[in-house]
Amino acid sequence: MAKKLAGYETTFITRVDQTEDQLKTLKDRLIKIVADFGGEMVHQEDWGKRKFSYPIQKEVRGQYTHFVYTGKSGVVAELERNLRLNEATLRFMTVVLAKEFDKEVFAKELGTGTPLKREERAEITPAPAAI
Amino acid sequence: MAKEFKEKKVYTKRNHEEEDYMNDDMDEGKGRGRKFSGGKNKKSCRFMSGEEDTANITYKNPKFLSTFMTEHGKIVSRRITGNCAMVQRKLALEIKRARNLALLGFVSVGPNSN
Repeated sequence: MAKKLAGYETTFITRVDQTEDQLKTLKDRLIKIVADFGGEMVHQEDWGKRKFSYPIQKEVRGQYTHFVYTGKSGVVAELERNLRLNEATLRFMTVVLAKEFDKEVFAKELGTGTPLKREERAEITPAPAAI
Repeated sequence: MAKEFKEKKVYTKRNHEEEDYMNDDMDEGKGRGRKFSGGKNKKSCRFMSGEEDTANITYKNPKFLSTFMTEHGKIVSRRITGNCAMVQRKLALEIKRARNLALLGFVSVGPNSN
């Protein structure tokens, strides 16, 4: 069995004056980076335009986008480098979900909205046999 | 005779100490130490008792996180909320994540705060 890749989630905020095409170009670029690093875009979510709790770079509203993906080491650095280069990006944040990310577990958790119990998790990915 | 007297004195002194100790325990209301004694009013963690779901503690749910903050945006202490240490650590982490994404505010006190 191939070793599982790490899972990450990145949320980034872009300016609201961006057109949909501009945002899509950025998204496509990020998706391509994930693919380049042998990963997979597991989940994409658009949180829409939100009002900030405090102004960021004199903006009071921003467009939130949320990605969940897997990838080899270096994928986050490359993704964040690209977000930094993009001038429309106000802020971003990446969180490591798991060192060995399981897509099926994530899909189930997304459906129910609660983390799986240890037994349920074991059903999908059996624990390695004791030596 | 003298020896006997001495022994008696020692005994009474010790007795006094015991009494004082017991009094301290009993009048909780006026005594010092009342403030910090847990005892009767100790709250149990509402996440561990199943009243709330720990899955809600995530920066993606700023509305829920804000229930553990004051109106100025301070994180409410465990002493007030009765959360257990594990939950409080997680809460603090997720609140700080949400603050970074401007989903929640930083502490704001003063004339210029919103």
